Amino acid sequence: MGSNFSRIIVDFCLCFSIFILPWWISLLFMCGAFFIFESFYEGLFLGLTADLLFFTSHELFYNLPIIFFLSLFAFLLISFLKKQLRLNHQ
Amino acid sequence: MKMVFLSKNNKSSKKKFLIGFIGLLLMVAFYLGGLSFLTGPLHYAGKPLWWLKNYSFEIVSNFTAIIKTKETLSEENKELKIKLNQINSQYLFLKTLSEENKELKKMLGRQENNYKFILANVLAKPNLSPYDSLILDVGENYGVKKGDKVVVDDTVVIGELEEIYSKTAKVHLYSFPGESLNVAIGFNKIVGMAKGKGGGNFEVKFPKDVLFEEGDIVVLPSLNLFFLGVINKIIITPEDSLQTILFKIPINIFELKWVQIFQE
Repeated sequence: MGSNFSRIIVDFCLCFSIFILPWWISLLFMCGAFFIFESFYEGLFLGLTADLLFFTSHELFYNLPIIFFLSLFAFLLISFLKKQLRLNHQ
Repeated sequence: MKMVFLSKNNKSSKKKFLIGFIGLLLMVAFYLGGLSFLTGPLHYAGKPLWWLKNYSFEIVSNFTAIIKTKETLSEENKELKIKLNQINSQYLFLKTLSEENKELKKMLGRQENNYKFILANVLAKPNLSPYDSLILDVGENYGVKKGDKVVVDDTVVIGELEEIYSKTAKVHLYSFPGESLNVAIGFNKIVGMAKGKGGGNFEVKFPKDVLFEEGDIVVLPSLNLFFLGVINKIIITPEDSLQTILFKIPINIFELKWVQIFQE
């Protein structure tokens, strides 16, 4: 698992990425961070930040904050997968 | 005294429940607009980053122009000059027609309202988010209002202002996937309901017997001054009683640098 210092670096990079890179690349990085770091809650807040930055009302997903929703889904899914992997390893 | 320790499984399920609950709470707060006060400061923080990104892109594109050989540049220059001459003559013709149109409207008692444009720099383009939105560098400081139309090159309307902050504004593009919009097509202004397909593309369905041609102009029924797009494909299949008309905004919204905000 990543150290605290590398976690801070990743936080900064992700923070920059939501301003500069296409949203799906940031989301992929976020998924990587969810996998590498334990309880990477910052990812959820960054997802919410991205939604706060760009959100406009829409009919397609019932006005849901899409990036936050996807990051929450990825967080829960990856947590579950990590747990399963650990159990299998034991 | 007896101490009771929570089992690891119990702890982790409580933690998951808490995360889920906080997530839900944040989503509800977002939905009800309780977090929108954070957007202004976030835009303020993002402004230098977006500016830096756009500037560096410009430098890179200028650099690629330098790398090109003299021969290709001179050939390109010749072609562009020829095109410019053609466009200039077409422009003069259209200008005359437009003046004539205005005069005729005046004679028939249809005065055009006074309006003005506010020029705005595009800070963030649609590819940064799944929302098909733009972020502009004008806000309350320029007196723009929610619902003001956003126009490109004086003629093409692409969306409207949805949220205004002190120094920035968010634009909702009409082409958001699944978004419905009333449009009028062709010279006869046949009204239909178009659906956004993202990236400046739209789709509209009509019965087969309504005739359209590729290149027909699409406008908003409420706004005759600007056009929304041009028909680029008409799909007719024998098994479908409706024809599908695909039209798109005649500019690349991913390359936008400047837009105008239309104020009546």
